[in-house]
Amino acid sequence: MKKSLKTSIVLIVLFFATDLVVFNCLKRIDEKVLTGQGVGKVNHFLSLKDSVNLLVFGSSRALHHVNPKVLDDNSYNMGADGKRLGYSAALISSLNKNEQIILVHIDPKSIYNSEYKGEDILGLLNVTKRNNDIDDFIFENFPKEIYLSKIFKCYVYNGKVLSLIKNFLTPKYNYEGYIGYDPIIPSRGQKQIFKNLIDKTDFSAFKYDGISKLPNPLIDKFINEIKEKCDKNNSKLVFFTSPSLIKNEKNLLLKTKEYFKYNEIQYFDFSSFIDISDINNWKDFTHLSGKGADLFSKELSSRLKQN
Amino acid sequence: MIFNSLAFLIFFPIVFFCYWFLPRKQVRIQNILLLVASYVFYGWWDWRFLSLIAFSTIVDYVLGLKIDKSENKKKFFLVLSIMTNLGLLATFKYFNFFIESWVDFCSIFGYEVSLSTLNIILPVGISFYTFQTMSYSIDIYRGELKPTRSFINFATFVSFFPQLVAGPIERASNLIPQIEEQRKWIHNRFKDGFFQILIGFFRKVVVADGIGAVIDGIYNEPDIHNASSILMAVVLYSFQIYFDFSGYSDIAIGTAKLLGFDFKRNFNLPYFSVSITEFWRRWHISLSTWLRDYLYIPLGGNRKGIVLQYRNLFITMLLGGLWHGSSWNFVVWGAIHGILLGLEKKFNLLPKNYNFFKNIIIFFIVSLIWVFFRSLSFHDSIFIFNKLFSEDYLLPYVGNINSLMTVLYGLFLAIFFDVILFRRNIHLESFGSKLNTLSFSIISVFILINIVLFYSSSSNFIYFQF
Repeated sequence: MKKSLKTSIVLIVLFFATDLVVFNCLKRIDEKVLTGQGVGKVNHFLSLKDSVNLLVFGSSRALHHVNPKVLDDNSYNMGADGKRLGYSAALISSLNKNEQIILVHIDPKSIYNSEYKGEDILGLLNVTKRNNDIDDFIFENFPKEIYLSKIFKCYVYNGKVLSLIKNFLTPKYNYEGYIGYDPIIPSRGQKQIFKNLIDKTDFSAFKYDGISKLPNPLIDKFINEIKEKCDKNNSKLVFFTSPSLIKNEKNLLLKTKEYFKYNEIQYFDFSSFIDISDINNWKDFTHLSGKGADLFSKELSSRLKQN
Repeated sequence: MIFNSLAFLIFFPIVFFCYWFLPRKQVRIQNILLLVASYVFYGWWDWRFLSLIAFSTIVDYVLGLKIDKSENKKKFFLVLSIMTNLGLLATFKYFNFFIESWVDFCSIFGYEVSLSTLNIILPVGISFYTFQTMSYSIDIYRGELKPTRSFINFATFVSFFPQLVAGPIERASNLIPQIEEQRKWIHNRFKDGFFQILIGFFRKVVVADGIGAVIDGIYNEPDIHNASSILMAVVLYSFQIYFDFSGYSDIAIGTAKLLGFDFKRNFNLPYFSVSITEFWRRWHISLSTWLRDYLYIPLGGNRKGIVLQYRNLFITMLLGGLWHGSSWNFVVWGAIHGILLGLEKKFNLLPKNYNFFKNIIIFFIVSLIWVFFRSLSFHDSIFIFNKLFSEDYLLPYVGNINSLMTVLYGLFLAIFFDVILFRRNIHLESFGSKLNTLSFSIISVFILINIVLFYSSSSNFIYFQF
């Protein structure tokens, strides 16, 4: 057993030493990467968040639908594929500049989705070593992950390594001119797939599971934290819902409007702004093409000016 | 509890230290600890189903002793044991399937039959532990095994947590003697076990779960994807199921080794097979040998002429398919394997040496048959085959490119490691002990760092559903 103990000690020491070395190498690379959705975009955001006038947050429906240039020349779209409100709330917690316009995309059904646990925040684990606000935000919601990341340093780069290295070696675009907006230009294959889907879809049959009567407490908490931060910074906060072919029930829309009204938060619902009459405006049921996004951005801009 | 959960990563070290550092290292106390730990492990999923394991344990313990003692009622007690175990399986796993199939069958002839199904959950691992206890009774009946007198030992055998929920299906003749003996700490066994656990975790959480994230969308909605995407999903699924299940077996075997037990090998590089027959000698070995010893041979095996041999092969594979799940897809999957095994024998297609091209052909055949295993319905399986043989080969749908890159990286490492094992003719079960301390530590650390950097969020093991 002594031999095994010796082997175990060698292994443990070697592991933690390697973990530290690999982590530091990745951290150095991370600090230099400013392109790519995985890591670079957040770094880019952190570098300019306190200098822009307008910021857009949300999921892919923010990322691909809102051209921030149409809204303000000095702006940035921090929407990210697959990310939800927790991710946006964590990023907003790091804002210091006063009197910004903060636009946050939200889908009404996500407010009442009881299944959401906020795991998307963990996509920002690698930033915790560099930004105390985000570190505190994640610790408040996922203390276990922060403890784990203190033991296993590399843990914060889980699932990010290849994109990090790829963007370090061959950046896909020049970040200096990048405003965070990625319009979708559907390929021929994607158009075909979407057309096939449209043909076989009974739009009236869409139903959502997991919708509860009350707002998800975590979402409710995040929304209130976002509001508090914006109030503190004297920033204008607007939640909005972008166009989608999957329609929410009227009751849900009404509930959502009442919810924001009760919380004294401005809310714009554009879910029915663009319909299916021109299929070229769409990439799929919930995502506009670049053409549709242009239409939507202009409408969002005009609504913002009105309010 | 599942292996790839934080709960297990806390649970196992506690069990491990209590087990090896008990003040009085008595076998009985160690076995009681293992039994309690196993019930905690299983109860973590749903404690209500512990009663099923306990019931199965008590019945087979009592009947095992009765079969051994009885002079003229041996057969009766054996049948009672088998009926009890199959009864549990039939109720919890197949009842609804048989009812629904009967209703569908009647409707073909225009009869509207109204039979209600049961609203029951399939208890995790029921197919594994019922087969294990059945083999115990059969071995005693055949005179190949003496029943254990100790109830604690027998209960530990049935519920031993490393293999309780997804195998390997350990034979009583291998495991019970080890449970009864004093366990010794062996340094090489520790290295072998630890290394195999690491490989298992890598295979499961990096490779299999990563692939699952890429292909699930395609298998769930095959009708919206082109042929290239479907072909990609078909090939990747072959790797997913292999690395998922072999990964589970590796963790199970490695965990047992750390507790001083040697399980039989369950996978032996199945995708290096050059025939379907060889594939089944390398894939899920504990199940295929179980089916051989307790079904194929009792049916007559190859002793009653060539035609009956084909029949026996077919029945064995058909029931083997049904064992995997209560769906016609699994039956068809098993039946196709049965037919191919028969054809190989009939046309003498079994090559004697390794041949790369035959290897590739067998891989693709097996991959195509997995379609029935993975598809959500028989209709989907047919649709996938139609699509695969269509001309709809455009660029495949790859989803998130970073996820795909991670999958390909993990897959490359996993296949590279398998190629080393194959070329050097080394068994994973004894790989760790072949390395000196430094190499062992360096390779282990490499795997650990890769797991930390590339693991995909936890999902259940595919074989849990069986």
